[in-house]
Amino acid sequence: MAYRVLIVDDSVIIRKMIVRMLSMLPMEVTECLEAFDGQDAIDKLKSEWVDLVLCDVNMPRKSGEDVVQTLAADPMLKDIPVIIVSSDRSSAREERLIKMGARGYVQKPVTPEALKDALVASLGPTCMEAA
Amino acid sequence: MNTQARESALVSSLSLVLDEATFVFGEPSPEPPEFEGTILESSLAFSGDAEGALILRASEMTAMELASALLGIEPDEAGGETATAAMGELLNMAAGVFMTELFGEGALVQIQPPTVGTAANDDGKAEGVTVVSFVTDEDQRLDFAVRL
Repeated sequence: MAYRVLIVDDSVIIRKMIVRMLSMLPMEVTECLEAFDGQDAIDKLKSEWVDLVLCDVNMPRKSGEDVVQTLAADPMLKDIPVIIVSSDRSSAREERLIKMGARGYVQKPVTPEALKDALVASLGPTCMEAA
Repeated sequence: MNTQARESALVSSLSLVLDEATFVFGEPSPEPPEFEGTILESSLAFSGDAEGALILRASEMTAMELASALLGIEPDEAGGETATAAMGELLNMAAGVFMTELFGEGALVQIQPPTVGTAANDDGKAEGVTVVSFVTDEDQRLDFAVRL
């Protein structure tokens, strides 16, 4: 399967790092879309086809929790997997987001190995089979 | 929460972030070199189970080199805006590690987005502030501080 990925983070550095990491993985990514906060992500998700969301938590306007809750409540968007990529390392925050509907949680600083493990755990091993 | 515990958390959190995100090795130094040129200061507030602020300082040149290491680009490709963004993100990542180091994994602490600006060339010390100076393997100085 080829993936159209939405990367949501208020840091342009993190967005660029994740784009670079995805290019290093044996995963077929057709396009990386970027959103600079949760509100921008929700706007893009309502107008663009997206297969996977990689999302920060602490952002201006709407947070990663808002994004997860909005997707979970929308019948058209609820099946899009969301993997959280956050500097928040508290187990309480991770459990809370997983309960809300996030499919995975990666701690920053994110490494290619940690990102790959989270993608495989969330999407299955076939996601790493580039065509 | 004593000063030693704060210093230990500052050291381990920034060391981990430098190592994993930039592959830069840094260690605390009681006699760091002076900052050269413009100094960038990134700061963020946190609240919840603990309240305070974290501050990261480096010269603009050091910030550009850290930005290039983060993105896998040449230092001269990392302009001022990228250096500023790198200072914010390095602090954000170090803040996450710092919170669990000092307050434990069960603590719920809300970290605010970082802001970055220029700073005066002083030692950054003030009442209630714990500062650790790092020196990298390239002999560059980074100061990491917490105010509780």
